[in-house]
Amino acid sequence: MICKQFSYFRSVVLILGGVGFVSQDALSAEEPVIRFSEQELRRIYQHSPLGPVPQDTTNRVFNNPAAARFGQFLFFDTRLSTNGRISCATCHDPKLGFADAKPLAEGLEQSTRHSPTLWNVAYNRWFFWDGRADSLWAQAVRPIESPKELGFDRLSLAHLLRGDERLKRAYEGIFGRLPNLENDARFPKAGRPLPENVDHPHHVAWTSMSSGDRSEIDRVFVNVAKSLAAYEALLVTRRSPFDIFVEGLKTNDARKKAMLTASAQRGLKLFIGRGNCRLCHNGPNFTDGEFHNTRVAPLHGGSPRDPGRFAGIDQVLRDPYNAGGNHSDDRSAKARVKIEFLTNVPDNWGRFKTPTLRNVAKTAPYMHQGQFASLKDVLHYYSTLEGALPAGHHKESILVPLKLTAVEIDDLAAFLRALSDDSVNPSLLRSPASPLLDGS
Amino acid sequence: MHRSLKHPITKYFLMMLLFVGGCKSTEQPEKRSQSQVGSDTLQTDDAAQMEHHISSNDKTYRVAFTPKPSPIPMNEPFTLDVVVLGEAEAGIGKNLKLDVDAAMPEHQHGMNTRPRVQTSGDGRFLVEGMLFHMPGHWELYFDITDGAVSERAQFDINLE
Repeated sequence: MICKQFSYFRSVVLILGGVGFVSQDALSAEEPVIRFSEQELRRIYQHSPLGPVPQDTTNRVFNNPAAARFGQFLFFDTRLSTNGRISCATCHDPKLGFADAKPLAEGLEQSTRHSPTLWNVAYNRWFFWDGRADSLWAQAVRPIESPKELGFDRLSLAHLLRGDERLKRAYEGIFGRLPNLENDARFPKAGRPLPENVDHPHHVAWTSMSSGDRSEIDRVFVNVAKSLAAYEALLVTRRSPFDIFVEGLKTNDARKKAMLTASAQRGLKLFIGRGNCRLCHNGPNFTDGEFHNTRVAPLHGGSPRDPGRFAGIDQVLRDPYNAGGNHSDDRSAKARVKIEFLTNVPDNWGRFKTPTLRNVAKTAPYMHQGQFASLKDVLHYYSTLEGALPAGHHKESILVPLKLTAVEIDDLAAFLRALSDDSVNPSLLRSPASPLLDGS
Repeated sequence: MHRSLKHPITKYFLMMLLFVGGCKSTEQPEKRSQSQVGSDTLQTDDAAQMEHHISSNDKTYRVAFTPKPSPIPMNEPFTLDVVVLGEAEAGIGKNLKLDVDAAMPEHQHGMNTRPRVQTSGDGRFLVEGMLFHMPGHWELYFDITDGAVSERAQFDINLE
């Protein structure tokens, strides 16, 4: 795996890239007769199978089925919004690939970014397009109070749980007793910290509370987020036609190998070869989990105004909900490793997270502002870099026009469609009748 | 160099040479100045057990290191155990400083982490916070600084 003679390696890659590619002319439409070199097979096997969900030790209920059920109920519960009409599922609709089919997310207001899919979300290293959260639960706390998303507040949330008998029982069965909120002077009906707007009634109410009472509410708030994360960690897609095809390659099973059309196999060959897609979309979840500048112009034109990862790094390092914070259930060096060695550079400005490609055909439109309506539009962009922003001070030089033919674009799109998986448990795709596991 | 080390005879030969060198330095401590470390035998033994061995660009130092886990995993954190030895018999300076970094020259970017280097002060170092997030050619840099003089040793890695 490690080789000092890189120039030799590079030559080999180029040669294999040339010889290994089977011309589309040599194949009829649906004959899966593509030959893969040994190197190509090694690369293909890096993408499948997808292993178990990485454990989040900072969330003690990560594997707790009762917490996952409670979280699933809350995920679809519109009472968690200030207008009573929005839930997590508004922007992360199971019927729309756990996204919303809109270029920009729309909660209480329109966001400046596209709703990312929640499929395989627990495999992420960082969360949000800019990675400003280092765990799934640290992500989940944010939309609840975001004025553009649910616009709710943690005191109202605690009162909601306390006032709904089933929610109260579900919560207390997992986390122990909810605080007694009957004293309005101690626990106002609504409130949250808003240090950027100290005159806001929510902030005034929040700061009127004792630090001990605030801690109690914070704990409830975080426990709800950890339950949401426990549910979202179950949204796993790992049994696509591509995965079955890989099993077929390994066992020489013709029936399984037939799961990919010839076009999709040619697309796979491009994906791991000349297309260099695997540079960023690597590993079994088809993402490096890191951040890149795709140079795609802002949705509404003009100069880029979103700092992306550049701001995200500072935010995650300061985030009170990160792995080193008081609410983390594991503050060990191992749990903190992501933030411990994180560094920021100017090149991070305008970088956004590489999304998974599993189920990608279900999650149009694409890119961090939904700039492209279809997979073919995305592939056309990477083929031509038409409309790309100037590189500016960005030094990273991964992007080069791929100069794909129309057939090659079709082939890559066919391969990407073969990453769709419909085998997920359907009970995870809807609101459960009860927040309690026993259904009571 | 690391390839040839895998040959058992070569490895044995080198081990013997390093062993002799180590004995020599302990037998002749008067050759070392006060600023030099006093555990060369341990260092050379440690170095011999490392997976990879390179020289700094001006041949002042030998750098031996082992990644953990090995081989270096794709897109997963790893650490490096490093031993720095003087190419000359005299050993190395006590206040030697090591900085470690890596980059992908073809893509003109580095790692997204800033590694931390800890040392026990005797030429042995532990490097934490390494992560290669992309397949391809990486250059691994060991910048060794002794006083005002800094010298680089580098190692090419192809992460397939």
